[in-house]
Amino acid sequence: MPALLCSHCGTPNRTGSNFCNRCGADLRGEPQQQAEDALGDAAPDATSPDATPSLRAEQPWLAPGFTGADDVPFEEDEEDPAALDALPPLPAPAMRLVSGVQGLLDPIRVAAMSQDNDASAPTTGVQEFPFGIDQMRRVRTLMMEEPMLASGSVQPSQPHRSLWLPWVFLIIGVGVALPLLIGWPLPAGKPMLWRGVASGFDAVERLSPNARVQILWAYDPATAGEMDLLSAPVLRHLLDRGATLRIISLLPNGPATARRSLAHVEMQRLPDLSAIGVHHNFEVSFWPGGATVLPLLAAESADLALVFAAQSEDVQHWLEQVAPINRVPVLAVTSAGADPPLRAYLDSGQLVGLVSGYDGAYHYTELLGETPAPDDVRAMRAQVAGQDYGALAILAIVVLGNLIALLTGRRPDG
Amino acid sequence: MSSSPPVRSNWLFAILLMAALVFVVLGRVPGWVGVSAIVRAGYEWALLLGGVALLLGVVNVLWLHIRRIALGQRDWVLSLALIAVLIAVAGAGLLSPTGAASPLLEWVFDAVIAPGQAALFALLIFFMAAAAFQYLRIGRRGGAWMLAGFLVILAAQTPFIFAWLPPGSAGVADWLLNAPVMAALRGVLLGSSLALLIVGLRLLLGRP
Repeated sequence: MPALLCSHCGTPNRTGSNFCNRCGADLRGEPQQQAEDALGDAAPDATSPDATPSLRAEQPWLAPGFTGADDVPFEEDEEDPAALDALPPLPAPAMRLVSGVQGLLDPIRVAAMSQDNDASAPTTGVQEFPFGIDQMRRVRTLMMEEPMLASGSVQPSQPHRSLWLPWVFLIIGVGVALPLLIGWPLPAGKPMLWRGVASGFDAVERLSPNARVQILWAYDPATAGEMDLLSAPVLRHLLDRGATLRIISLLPNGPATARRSLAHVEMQRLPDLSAIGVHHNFEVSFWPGGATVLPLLAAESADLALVFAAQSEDVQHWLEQVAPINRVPVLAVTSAGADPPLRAYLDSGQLVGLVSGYDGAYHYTELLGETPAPDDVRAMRAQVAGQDYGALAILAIVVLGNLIALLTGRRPDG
Repeated sequence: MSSSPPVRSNWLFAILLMAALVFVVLGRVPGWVGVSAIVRAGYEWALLLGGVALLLGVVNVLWLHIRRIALGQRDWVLSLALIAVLIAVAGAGLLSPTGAASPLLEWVFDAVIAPGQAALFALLIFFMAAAAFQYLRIGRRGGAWMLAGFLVILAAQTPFIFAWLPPGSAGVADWLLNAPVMAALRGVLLGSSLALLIVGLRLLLGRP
């Protein structure tokens, strides 16, 4: 069948195509060929190996004696140096549809399956092509398939090394599951009061009734176990102040998570007689487009901005994209993991408050001066106990690793 | 390939990007009301583009898995299940008068999405444990410093350990986070941002 052969990636394209279906290279000006014949005509051209030394200089992994970065040498049958040397030089890259965005890597020649080449096949005389059609199909199939786990041992000389990981996993699993199975005999202890909790509480406390509050809801069920404990007291406080909430989430599952948290908080407030008859207006929306669209919020007036975030980047995006424009004070309510990178923003005054982790949730609830709901107490105790036992398990693992290294004089790498 | 031909810059992209850059920067300057309106329109287009990209993603997933089924490729049954669930969930949202708050979608979220996401995220602890076992070693280069920092921060953030610590020890953790950790973090952020800027400029100028 007449076809256009892409000189960049070798894919046969329909006659009359302007661009390659696979790599987008410009096919205008390419000579039309018999693709099937040309592909079957994959005999190595031993007369033109000039490009091979420079190819090896820039792609040392093609050299026969090269060992990979992980010091694992290639198998003997993976590389065929003779076939590699015999391959003709690669065709010059064609003009590309979008320069610089795609096709930055020149095609790498495949020499491992050189036995598939049929040197005796007749040539068309139109264009020499180094790969056979079966080779191309096999490579494409390999690239499109899901990776499969190797059945054999990669390092048969050290089979004992893989035995450490199950023990590590067992220790951490038991450490985390223990409080669930036997309760929490250890005292939970009073967590540390970090800077930023009291100032954050004050920022909410100063809000007048019907104050507008923008909320970026940057967590979903993956981190809700920790974040719900933090958002609950802050949301209760906001509703107590009669604030109007404008909630935006850039995560597809963010709005559903926000609605559940708000419903939970409102259910807790039902026994509060002063809350009866008070209608809280809040709006929850999902915005696709990521942090790029955040500046749209800067055009809306607000008295306070809150970022509920499991990762520090979400707070940083707000501080970079929104806060410099609308100058609305920002309170960050984050996971414990997001706390360290955000401390500097608190010190610089870009954040009016920083409430993070179970520590922050505990002290914010204490500042509210209310008796926590039994469900919240139970959840927080379980979380704190889990954190305590998890920390102990991690410590045990670290000590174990160092002891093994000390006693055996080698590094058990898991 | 030592003398690879220079990559042509795409001037249409370059002009569009430069125009967007200029408008965004000017939009931050107070007093440029007209520019702000243009920038706002640009952000609204980005919002629309995000929605369209999501729909395109759905179409792409559908097309890919329909092809897998049609060709009878490996695990085509899973592709069939994926398409069935996609149609059921999308149909429930589109046909229900309550939209995204339809009972079926609420059930899917509560029974499948939320526990699934939480379970996958919880697996992180095992990776962290493996990393701690492997890298927090006194014998490794810099390992003792890493181990010391790890112990200080862990002690400060774990309630029952913190309760046993002498007063003032929390200040050590605070200083660690605010001085060396923050300096290193800011250095990495600044360096990677500058590198990104230069790579972007080189790409625009056709010199990658």
